[in-house]
Amino acid sequence: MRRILTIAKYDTKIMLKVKEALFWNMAFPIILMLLFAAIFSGGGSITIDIGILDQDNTELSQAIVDIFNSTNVTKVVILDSNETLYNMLKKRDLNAYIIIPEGFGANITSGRQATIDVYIDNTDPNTADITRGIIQGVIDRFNEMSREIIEGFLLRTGRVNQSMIGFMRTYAETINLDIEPVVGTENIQYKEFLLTGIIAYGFLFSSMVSATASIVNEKKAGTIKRLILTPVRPIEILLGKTFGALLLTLIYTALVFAVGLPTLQPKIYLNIPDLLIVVVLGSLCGISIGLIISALSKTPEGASGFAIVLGIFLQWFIGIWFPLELLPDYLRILTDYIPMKRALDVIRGILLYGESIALYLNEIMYLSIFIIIVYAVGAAILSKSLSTI
Amino acid sequence: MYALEAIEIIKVYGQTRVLDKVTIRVNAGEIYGLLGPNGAGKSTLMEIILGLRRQDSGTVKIFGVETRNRDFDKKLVGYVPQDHLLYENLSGIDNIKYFAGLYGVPRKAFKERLDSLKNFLELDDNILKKDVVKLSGGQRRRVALAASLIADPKIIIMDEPTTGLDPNIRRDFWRLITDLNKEGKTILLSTHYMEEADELCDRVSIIDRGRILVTGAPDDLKKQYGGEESIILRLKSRYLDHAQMLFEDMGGSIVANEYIKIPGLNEVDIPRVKKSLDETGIPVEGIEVRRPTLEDVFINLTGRRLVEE
Ligand SMILES: Nc1ncnc2c1ncn2[C@@H]1O[C@H](COP(=O)(O)OP(=O)(O)OP(=O)(O)O)[C@@H](O)[C@H]1O
Ligand SMILES: [Mg+2]
Repeated sequence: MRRILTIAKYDTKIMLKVKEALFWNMAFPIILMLLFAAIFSGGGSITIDIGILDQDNTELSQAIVDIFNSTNVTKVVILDSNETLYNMLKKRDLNAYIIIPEGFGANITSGRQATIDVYIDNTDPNTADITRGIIQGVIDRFNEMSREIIEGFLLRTGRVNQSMIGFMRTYAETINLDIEPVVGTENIQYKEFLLTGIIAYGFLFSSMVSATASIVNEKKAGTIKRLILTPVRPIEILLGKTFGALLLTLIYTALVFAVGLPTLQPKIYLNIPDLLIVVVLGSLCGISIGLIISALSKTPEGASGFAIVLGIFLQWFIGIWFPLELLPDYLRILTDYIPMKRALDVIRGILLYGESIALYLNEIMYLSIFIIIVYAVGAAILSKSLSTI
Repeated sequence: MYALEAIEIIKVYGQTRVLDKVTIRVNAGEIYGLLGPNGAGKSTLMEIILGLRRQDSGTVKIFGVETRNRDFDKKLVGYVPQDHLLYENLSGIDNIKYFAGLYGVPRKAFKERLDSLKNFLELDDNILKKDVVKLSGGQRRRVALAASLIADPKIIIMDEPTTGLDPNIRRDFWRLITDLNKEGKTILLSTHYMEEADELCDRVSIIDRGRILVTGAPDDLKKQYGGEESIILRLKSRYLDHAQMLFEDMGGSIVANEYIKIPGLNEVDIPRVKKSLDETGIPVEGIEVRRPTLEDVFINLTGRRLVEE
């Protein structure tokens, strides 16, 4: 055990001393996280520009405008011509515009179906999704509020008296806004998504790439000659290196939180024990793959190069930077086999939704089995090649 | 019992026998040298002895125990490789600690040994704190030696311990090696410097193209294969043939197409030789008396020089 820990300790020390590796494995993703968070969340949230043409001009139509104004994600522009709105949308000055037609208020108060027209800029499907979600949210809110507003409105205009309100209450609930179908989005902000994704970046680089490098560099630098001459066994070398890469990944994860928590101020559930379990499993998956790469490559350079390319490639398919929903279906199904993607799903479940790891037994099983099989195969091949040069 | 035996080692790479039935036997307490030119097979032999490479046939025994045997104790043998093979990104002291950990050196023994090694190898904390990558060649070798000695091996195998060092530093290393030997360490070293083999080694094997040509104490080898004292004449190459004719009846001959060697002569004969040359008008570049060296032994055995310049 002392030998394994000795290898782990000095391996980590070496990895922490190689400046380029340190930059690419640790500093780079964290800088990118901060950068992306700043670019894509505008210091907290996205702004959606919505133009409104209020042809109705009643207290009810005004209520819709008010709700749009009260959210902090929308910026409302009130305009007076359909044409101006359309041109602004075309020039991408607006994400969407809404026409509240004349008679909208009257339709509601008299119990007929009311309609508003919504036009959305579809150029960027992602933003269009978010825009639709926000408009849907506003309409839902209006639906909740409308009963009270209508009551107040009717009372003030003197069209009904207090005794009729009881009747109106039932009546008002049937009010239905007919707008074009909208798709809702999850109400998670990008910065939380990003912070959790960046943890999984560690599985690819601090774990997979580092483990590969630390194994093949022994051969490249010739230091393996010295290791073989000591009483240390090949499996001890591998376990030592595994612990080293794991330790590096834990240091990286701690660093992500140390930088991410104060700067991004994410709303997450910090369930550290559960998180730790998943991070260890995710890291071991990366290390196992690193072992296989080292075992199967002909040259040290080939192995390191392949691990880096694989890491760069995989980061787009495990959902670090963007939701995998953006991928075509056939690809999305494939990504489900990538263990680091599974680990990231669990991390997001824990951190974003406050779920317990117990909810993810399938995932944990999948990760564990993956680790056992891949690690065993890699270790078996490598043990042979580590016993002579 | 020998401290180290390599018996009839054969190693083949592709078509060539890099080692062809090589046998060496090293006594406990001696400094044993493998003297041979580049590519002779010195490193290959050492790595086979260490178990880093597999021989195609032959056996290696350390204190009578075959090294492939399970109860062979790896701590008996220390290795100072040709390229220093330290962890470049770790400091000297971390390298030493690392190997101490892998050899399972107890903490208390470690402290004592480290202190005495620092003393012995003249390693101060300043050197030890630096990353190996920033050390000079001589400093690296001393750190590499410390990393090998920390486990207190009985036998130390050094592959070309002084290649690439300044002549002064090389002499310091020779002193270090003799001191180690005086402390009771058995040493097997390889070199292509004949002075090194001559000065340091109790016994030498001359190895060339995978074969051991001769083995013995340097003085014995020189006596037996080095030839007599001789006068060496350095001349422009166009005069070589002429001069050879001139000294033919004294036994003069052209060596390595570079100089004339007249065997059996010494200082006393220089005026006589000079006179003959002056009379025939052959200009002399240099004239000296040579006593046989291990280089001569090598040349006499192979017809080639040890180090091509
Ligand atoms: N892995 C290998 N594959 C093929 N040939 C090899 C291999 N290793 C060594 N050789 C060959 O074996 C021969 C002996 O090499 P070795 O390194 O043992 O020589 P050496 O005496 O140590 O030389 P040097 O003084 O240059 O260190 C050389 O001809 C070399 O090319
Ligand atoms: Mg060599």
